[in-house]
Amino acid sequence: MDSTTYNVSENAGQLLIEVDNLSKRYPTGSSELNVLNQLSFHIKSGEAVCLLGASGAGKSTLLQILGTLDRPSEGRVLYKGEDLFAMNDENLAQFRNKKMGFVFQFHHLIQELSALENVMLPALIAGESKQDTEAEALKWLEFMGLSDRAEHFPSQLSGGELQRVAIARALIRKPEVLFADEPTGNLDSANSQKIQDLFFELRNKLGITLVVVTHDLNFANKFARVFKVKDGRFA
Amino acid sequence: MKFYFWLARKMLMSKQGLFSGATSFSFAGLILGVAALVVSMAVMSGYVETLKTAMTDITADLQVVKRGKVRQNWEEFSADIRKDEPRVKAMMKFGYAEAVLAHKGQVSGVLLQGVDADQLNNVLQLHKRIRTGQVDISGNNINVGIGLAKKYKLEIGSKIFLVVPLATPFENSGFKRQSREMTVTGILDFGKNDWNERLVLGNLKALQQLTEIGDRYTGAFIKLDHPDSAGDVALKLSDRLDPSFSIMTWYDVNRNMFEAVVIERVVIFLVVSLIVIVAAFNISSALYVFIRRKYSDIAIFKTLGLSPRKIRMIFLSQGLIIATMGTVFGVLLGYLFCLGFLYLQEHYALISGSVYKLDKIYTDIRIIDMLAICLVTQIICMIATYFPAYKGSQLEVIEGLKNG
Repeated sequence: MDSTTYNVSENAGQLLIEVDNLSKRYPTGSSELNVLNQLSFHIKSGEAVCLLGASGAGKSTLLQILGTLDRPSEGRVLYKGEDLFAMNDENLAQFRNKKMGFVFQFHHLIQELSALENVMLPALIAGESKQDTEAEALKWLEFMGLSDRAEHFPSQLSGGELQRVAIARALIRKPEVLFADEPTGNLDSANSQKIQDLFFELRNKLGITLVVVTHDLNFANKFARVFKVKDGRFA
Repeated sequence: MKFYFWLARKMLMSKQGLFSGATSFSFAGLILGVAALVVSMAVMSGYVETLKTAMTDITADLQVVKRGKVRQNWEEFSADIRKDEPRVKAMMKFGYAEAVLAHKGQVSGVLLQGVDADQLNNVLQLHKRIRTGQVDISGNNINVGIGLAKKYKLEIGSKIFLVVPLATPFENSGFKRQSREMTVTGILDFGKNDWNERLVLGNLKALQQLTEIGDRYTGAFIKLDHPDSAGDVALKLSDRLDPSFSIMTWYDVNRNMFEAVVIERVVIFLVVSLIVIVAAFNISSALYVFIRRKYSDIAIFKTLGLSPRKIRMIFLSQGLIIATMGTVFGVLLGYLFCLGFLYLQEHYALISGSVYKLDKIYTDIRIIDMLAICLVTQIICMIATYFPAYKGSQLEVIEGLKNG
């Protein structure tokens, strides 16, 4: 991918996400389970941030709230000063499509669509033409080293290839921030290493802001900023 | 919109899509329901059309009948009717008489319809109803229906006697008879069962002589530019003509039957629509299961920027695709059933003429019926798919990702 066509590094260092007194509680019968407890922090544009913690610590919930996939019980999340949860569902969906990319532990590709169509999906949702989108998707697949897999369906791809298609899908809309929830959790060590390298290549070449959840210490050690999450708080 | 249909189609047509496995039976049910609607509406419309054609072919578009008999000179009478009415294309005088047909020791009551032989082909469409022989009612020649011909084993050239009882003016209970030997020159399918078994078509002059009414006649058969203008022309004539004239359109002659058919059409449409509704329920439950299997995909769609409203659009597009395909295949299947119905009628006596008045019904697939069927199917399917679509759109992303 030619970084001149997609580079958000000119905003590097500017305040991107501000989290203010964020809490998340889930009702469990008569009581409530506090998953996140009054968290406040910020992320600057172009930063690579890692949320590290054991299972059940609340790191995935935090990532989902930052990515607007879930709503907080209390507190605010500001994106460039704008309160995200003041938006309605329609606007929030558009915002997510335009500004954010997501990669999960499981690839979550649509089985009925080819690799190329899966990558095209976010751009098609945004209403872009199929012709332009196809050319863009092919570029991303080429960047991921998957140009010969474009017409393959998810069932015909290996674990590493599936995850790279999912990353291409997350990037086609040229998001400012990429959220990844245990992106290497389901891969063998060789593929895991390739994906980790890919994330930092993306960050260095494109200036994209990375927010990655992992419980892999080796992976976490590569990040400049690591938030250790324990019992809903930063340790 | 294009995107929703593209994605809906991709998800529907895949190996694990909605058309896979047992759910295809729900779709087959929808097709059968639509086909049943098409056939029932085509048969009902065909019944009306068959009856209408029989009426206009045998008794013209409009009849003007005078109580008693018309004494007026035909030229004056016809000029009165034609006056300021350009929609009248042709007309002829006619007469009716109850008679007894006697042939080879058998007798039965018949209705003798005498018409003006010179104008016959301009007013009535008998040539297309001929089965054997020809339309020839000159002199003492007559045409009979296929039912009567079968009953008396009549052939072209058969001689029969027509006997007309006439009241005597001086005795209340007495009557005299007039009879005449007639020759069968044509055997026709009059279109209605009772006509085929009872109607004898002859020359008006012969009828006048048999019934001793001189030059008088019952009234006029009138051919219009179009049968559907009969009601309007009848209204105008009733304003102009003497009240002793009775004016009847082809519809009036069988008004009860036509009105009954209108009600039957609605009832049959509603009853047969139940098949489509049941099929739509099946599709709805299949879609619920399908959406349950697609929780992970729905979560990803939301993650990628589809709002709940747009998720609903995808599943509603699926409903629209199912409804459209069901309607198209159903209409095609219905058309094939109609052809099969016509074929079976040609080879087997499917319809009892004594019960339904007609012993053969042509199917009439009308655009308006097809549009109504398409609309009803689409509405039923859209309602059936809305609820699972709504449920799917309300899914929480987190829940969907966990299920994936």
